[in-house]
Amino acid sequence: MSDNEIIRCQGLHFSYPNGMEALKDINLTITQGEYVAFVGQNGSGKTTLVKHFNGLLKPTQGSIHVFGEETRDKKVSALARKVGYVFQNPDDMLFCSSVEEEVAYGPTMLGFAVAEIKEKVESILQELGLQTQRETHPFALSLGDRQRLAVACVLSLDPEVFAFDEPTTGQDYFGGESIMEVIDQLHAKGKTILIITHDMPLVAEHAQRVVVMNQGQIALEGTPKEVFSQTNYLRTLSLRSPQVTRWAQNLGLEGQTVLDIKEMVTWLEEKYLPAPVQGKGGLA
Amino acid sequence: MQSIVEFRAVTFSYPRADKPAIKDISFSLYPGEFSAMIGPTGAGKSTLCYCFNGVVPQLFSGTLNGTVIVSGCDTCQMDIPVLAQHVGLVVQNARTQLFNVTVLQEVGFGCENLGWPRQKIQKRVEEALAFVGLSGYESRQPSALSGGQQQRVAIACVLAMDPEILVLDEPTSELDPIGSEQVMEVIARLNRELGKTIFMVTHDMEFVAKYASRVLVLNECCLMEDGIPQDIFGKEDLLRAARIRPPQVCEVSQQLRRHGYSIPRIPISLEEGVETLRRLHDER
Repeated sequence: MSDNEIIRCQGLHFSYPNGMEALKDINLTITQGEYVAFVGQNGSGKTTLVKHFNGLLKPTQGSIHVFGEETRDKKVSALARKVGYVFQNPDDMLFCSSVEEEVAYGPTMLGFAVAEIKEKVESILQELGLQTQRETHPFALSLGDRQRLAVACVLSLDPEVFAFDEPTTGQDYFGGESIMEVIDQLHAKGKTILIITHDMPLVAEHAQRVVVMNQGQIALEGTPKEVFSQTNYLRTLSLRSPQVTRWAQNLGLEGQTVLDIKEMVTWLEEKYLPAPVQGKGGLA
Repeated sequence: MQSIVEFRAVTFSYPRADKPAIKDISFSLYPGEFSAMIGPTGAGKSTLCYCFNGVVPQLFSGTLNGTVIVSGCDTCQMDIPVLAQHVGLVVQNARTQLFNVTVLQEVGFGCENLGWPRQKIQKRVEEALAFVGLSGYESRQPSALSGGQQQRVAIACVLAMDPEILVLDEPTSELDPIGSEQVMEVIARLNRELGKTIFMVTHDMEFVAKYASRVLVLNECCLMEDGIPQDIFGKEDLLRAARIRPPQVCEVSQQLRRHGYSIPRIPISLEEGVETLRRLHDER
């Protein structure tokens, strides 16, 4: 095992008790500080796989090592300090009667000192902009704020790895962006980020590596550019590249893949369009 | 043309709320229109949807001022079962509204409650399932279907009652991209082939550009704008205020225009975008 390898799945299979095989022969290694997006159609096994990373699920065949240790005999509570999982629906994990209590819950359960908990809670509330709502009942918060609170709860355990299950679902664009900002900051601090999402522009703009799941298997893996260059194959996996990517492909861009608006404008101006005629354009 | 839906100065407040959920909303919908409502989370979009079939204020109590007229009925005066035959509401996260053991029972449930004769119900359910592409799924369990299939079951449930108007609250928000496209195609065909009036809330601007003939922008409980997609997506300040990001095709075109390119009409769909850039490309 290399020094900075933190998750390794070898021939991992998982079947639900009813016999439904949800994961088949997953081989995957994740190293420290990576920013990995898991994409794939509903039911392709993304969530099932990520739930193996913190021991919520255990493989029925094959193995998974997290920080060098097999999860089979590990308790979820032991793994929670290393791999934090933010549920798709924040309401699945919130149950205290105030924001402050909610954030303090994890460290309290892990037996942190009172003063340390207080300090931790304070800095996290500041960081996520929830300090004015510390007394508020979690269910009185907007969805966006509940989502941030769910992140805060996981932050309080200071794990090395953060797994986010569809963190921007149900958010408007700016709400989604502000959550992504928090996630990007965690990554900048050296945390490993795993994110499950259907939002392909988000993947294109934030992730460094993409794992495409299909029917319980890894169908495709690579950088966003490598993955989104295969628009036609992605379609068969029920996925759609970002609009700018498809646009550039439609215009006949070959050899490189456009991922976001900035790249598209640059490519168009440098390679595709003649220089604008001065004085003619710029209609209001 | 005679309107099919009319909101006249509608203001609604939930009990004990310190401000209204929607405020002074006035607009009319005409038969066969496909309208999209967009706006940030918390703007009041879902509340507005509940006004169409009388759920607000009859089931969700509160104070409603103004009048909502749907197919000639005042929604405050008319019983909800009667309104359900004029307007079908597919709520946000529709899987929560599925509860029967089989798809057949689920889709027939509304009609049964209207006391229709058995043969009529069977015919309507059959037609509705065929329309959403789920013939052959009659004996399947709704909860075991994929997200996209569940959403189409939910649409079939209201379609079976044959309403003139369908209101859909974020019909694709939790679906993978291709599942979303399939649901949108069904909605488009409801409009095109059956002449249904469609009112859809969504955060997916690519779908708005592709399918809607009219866009209503709701922000901070008020109707800010009402117009054709081309006009709405051209208003950058309005979109920023309402926390809406236009389709990537629009954003790129607007930047090019600012850089001096002559783009008299901002494209809003991928097809229009390809056409616009090809024209600029050939203009040497």
